[in-house]
Amino acid sequence: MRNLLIVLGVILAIVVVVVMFLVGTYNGLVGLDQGVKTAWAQVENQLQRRYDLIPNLVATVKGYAAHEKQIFIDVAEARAKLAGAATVNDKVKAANAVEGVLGRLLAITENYPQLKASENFIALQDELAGTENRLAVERMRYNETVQTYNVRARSIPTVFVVRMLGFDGEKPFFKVESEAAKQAPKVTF
Amino acid sequence: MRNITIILFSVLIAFSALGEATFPVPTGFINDYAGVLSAQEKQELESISAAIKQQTGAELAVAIVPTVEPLDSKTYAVKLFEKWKIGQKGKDNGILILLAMQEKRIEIEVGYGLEGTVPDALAGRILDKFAVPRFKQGAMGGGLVDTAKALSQVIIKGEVPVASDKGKDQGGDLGPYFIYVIIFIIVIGILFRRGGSIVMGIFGVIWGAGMGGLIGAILGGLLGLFFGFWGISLGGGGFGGGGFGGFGGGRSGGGGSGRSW
Repeated sequence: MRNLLIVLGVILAIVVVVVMFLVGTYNGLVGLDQGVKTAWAQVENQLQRRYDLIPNLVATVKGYAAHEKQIFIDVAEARAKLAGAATVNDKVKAANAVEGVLGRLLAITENYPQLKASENFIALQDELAGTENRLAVERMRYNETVQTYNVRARSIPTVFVVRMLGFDGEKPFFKVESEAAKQAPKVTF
Repeated sequence: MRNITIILFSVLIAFSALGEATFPVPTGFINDYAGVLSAQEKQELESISAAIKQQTGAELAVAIVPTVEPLDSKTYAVKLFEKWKIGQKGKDNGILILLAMQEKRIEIEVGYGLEGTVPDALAGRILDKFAVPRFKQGAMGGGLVDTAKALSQVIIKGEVPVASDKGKDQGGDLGPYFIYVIIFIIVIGILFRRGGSIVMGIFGVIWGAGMGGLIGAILGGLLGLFFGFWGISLGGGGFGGGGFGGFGGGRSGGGGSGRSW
């Protein structure tokens, strides 16, 4: 009888410890998961901002360099791909592609001094530079939250239960592809 | 005093070279770590910042550093903003003007909450019109004061400042205004002359207005004195006896614009 009580007590203690561990882990992961989602939303805001800016930019450049047809087609295509991307990974890829073609577009504008001197273009360039800066900042902050999440989710003992609790085992980083980074629109004054 | 800050900053730089960039601690709204500003220019900038803070709650900070190495100026501005937390918490209405002397670069970093008031293109235009031309002549303080003034105009009044020839519109506006006042005085004088001539009536009105103004001024002065004392005692509490209590906890996300000079 007494032994049975001891066994029951030990089992109860183990159950309590496990439940407390699960609750603690769950709550911790909820916070981190939300952090990643919020940071990603900020990244998307900036992607959207860039997306909205492109037609204006293209229209202005077209006014001075209408015959550079290929680049306008490329920009439109990259922009459409970004709109169609659904997952984080697809969006990262599409965003990097947009960054690449925008870089080429800006390189082309170098050949048109009149365009570069126009007040409208200077204003647009300011907006674009600001958007790229914002995107860089939000990307950095997003990656920081992903880093924190991944460290937590992949360390023992969380790693054993993270999927069971319904969380991602790992979150994707927003990596800037070297190709895109090379062609990144360097908007400097 | 200025030399000490420069030495302190150099030590800071030396340390930062070992690891990541470190950032100076703010001593007020205007922080000149490179000894660029004259006392008067600093005073002027302080009062612009104070006016913005008082009228809108927004915080305008200035940082002049010898260099931003090993970062680029925009990243430095973003990180410094993050560190100092310029602007009110929740409103994120801070704005930072950063001057990097070695890099010859000025950055305006705009808090999230002011991005609508100070769009990037406007920040760029202000730099083109007020900062860069003066900086090129070597008038660092003057250019900075003009830039801060232009920003305060945008933040406080929502007006877009244009580089105009000063005084031109003032003269144009005052003329008709004076004429209306004179016509008003004459009309009142005619209406209220009591037995006397029109001229006497007009003098009466002017004299009456003068006395009324005098009494108003005295009353206003007394009220101002009273509320002034009250205000100072309140302000002292907020600043913890003269020291700088730090910024309000605002955030930014890379908005604004930058220029080289």
